[in-house]
Amino acid sequence: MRKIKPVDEWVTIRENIRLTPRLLKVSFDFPKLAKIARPGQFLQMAIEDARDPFLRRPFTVYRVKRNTIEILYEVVGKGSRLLSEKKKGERLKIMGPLGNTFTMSLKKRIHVAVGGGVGIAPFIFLGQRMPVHYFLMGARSKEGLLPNAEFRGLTGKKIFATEDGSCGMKGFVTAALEKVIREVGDAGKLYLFVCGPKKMLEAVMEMAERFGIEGEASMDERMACGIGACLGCMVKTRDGYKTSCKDGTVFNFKDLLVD
Amino acid sequence: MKPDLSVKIKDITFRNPVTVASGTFGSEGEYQGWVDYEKLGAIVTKTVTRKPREGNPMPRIYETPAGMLNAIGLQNKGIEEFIEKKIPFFSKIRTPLIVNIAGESVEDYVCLAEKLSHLKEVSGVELNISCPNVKKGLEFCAQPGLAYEVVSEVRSVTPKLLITKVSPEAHDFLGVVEACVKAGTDAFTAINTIRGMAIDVEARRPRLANVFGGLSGPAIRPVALRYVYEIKRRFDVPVIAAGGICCTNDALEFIIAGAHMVAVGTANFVEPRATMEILSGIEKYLGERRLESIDEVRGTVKVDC
Repeated sequence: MRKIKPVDEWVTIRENIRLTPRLLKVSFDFPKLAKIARPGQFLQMAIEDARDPFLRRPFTVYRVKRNTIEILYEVVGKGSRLLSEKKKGERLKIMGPLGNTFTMSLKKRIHVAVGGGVGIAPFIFLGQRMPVHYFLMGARSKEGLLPNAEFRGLTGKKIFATEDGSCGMKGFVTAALEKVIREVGDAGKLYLFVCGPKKMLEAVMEMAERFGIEGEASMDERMACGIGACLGCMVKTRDGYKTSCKDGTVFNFKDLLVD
Repeated sequence: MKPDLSVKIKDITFRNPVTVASGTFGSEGEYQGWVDYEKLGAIVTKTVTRKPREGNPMPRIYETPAGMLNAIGLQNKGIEEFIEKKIPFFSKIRTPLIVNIAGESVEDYVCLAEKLSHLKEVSGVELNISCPNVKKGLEFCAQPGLAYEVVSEVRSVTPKLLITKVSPEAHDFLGVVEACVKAGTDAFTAINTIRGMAIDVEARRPRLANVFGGLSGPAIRPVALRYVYEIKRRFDVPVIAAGGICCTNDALEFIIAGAHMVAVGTANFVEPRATMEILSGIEKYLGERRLESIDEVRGTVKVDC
């Protein structure tokens, strides 16, 4: 399916900054990758040359600006902590682009991106490449929400929801989705792009089924190889286990089997 | 002049000693674009079983210090589909193909080996009698008697290169090795992964759905090296070394300990070009020392006691 040959090179960090107490952004110049990456695709990052941590870390492409690639991340473990300590001028090894892409050829649909926390990341890049009419973002509190400035240049309407009510609607991102459904009236016109924690994905997909909304989800499983060899990152589909890294990470709702 | 890297095991000449460990290299060209398959010494497939296997539930992998745990559970489409859909890919590649097989009974192994013995694309069969992640996976490696039975039965149905992949989990490791030699194995792959475990302290649950997983990566390299050395010290049988080989230095350690070939495993997940880098590194090592052939390095470890 993918005919583009991925690349693997050392790059130099341009900027590594904290956007909120939870969300960070690292950027680097990688012209070859910037040219061929498509929304939904990810890259595999070696954070330390010494192979400690041993495996690479997968990150979705957050934004492409000419030759520069931006990655949105949060600190969840050793790899992301080491990444957060990296300074401008330090190096990372980046392999990509990997995985499939979001469907880009939808016509006459209202595109709704639903992101849970850092799961909003692929939709900024998606919004750069096609109209995204709504960005729905959920988080526990406002520290987990992407600052407004990060949506610069994107025209879609933003609706935020936080569990503690510290910003936007109080509750889950599904409350924001309900609001959109009411606003649009005809749920069948909507097309969802979803990425986030498993519980959120399940809640959104359950709602999509109830309202007859089509869409696709980016499935984030623990990965080792990133190229479909190790069979570690499997996703349950109607057609059996599929690799999240190579067959995905994007799967149509219709194909996913939710536990 | 370029040094001669070729290695002969039984009647097969491998163009160099660098190969891959089963299960880390896919089974239909996943590494194309990263690795020139024509440059590898041999290609070893992911395990094939008689019937399709769905594999273990998720989560299947967990990273640990200097390595990872995996409990994939031999997910594969079964021998029939393997022969029909995967073999054609390899028929275009001249590199010797070794098919790794596993079964739950002697009959399974025999049936698989027999089916593969008719295929010209297949140079050898690797008996996986040491998978820690499936029921009965380690059974045939647990006792010399059972190991003898499965190897000798398979030997009787295939003239192809027969490699037995062994696990350090065998209580009587050298006894199992001896039994396999007597039963007619042509070579060994040492070692398979070692069973390990990790726990999520928040959820108080195992990190793997299978509870146990096979530990691989640099964490097990010293253990693997010891076992390869132990086999070579006792038996005059070719060994394909596996266990955390990541770079040229690692590969040379095993060759100096006596290994005929080195199988890169988990390192493929981190550096898809690892095999190619190791290959040129070995060539450089020989060239810099003006050694004409890899034979001048193999088994040359100087041990005083």
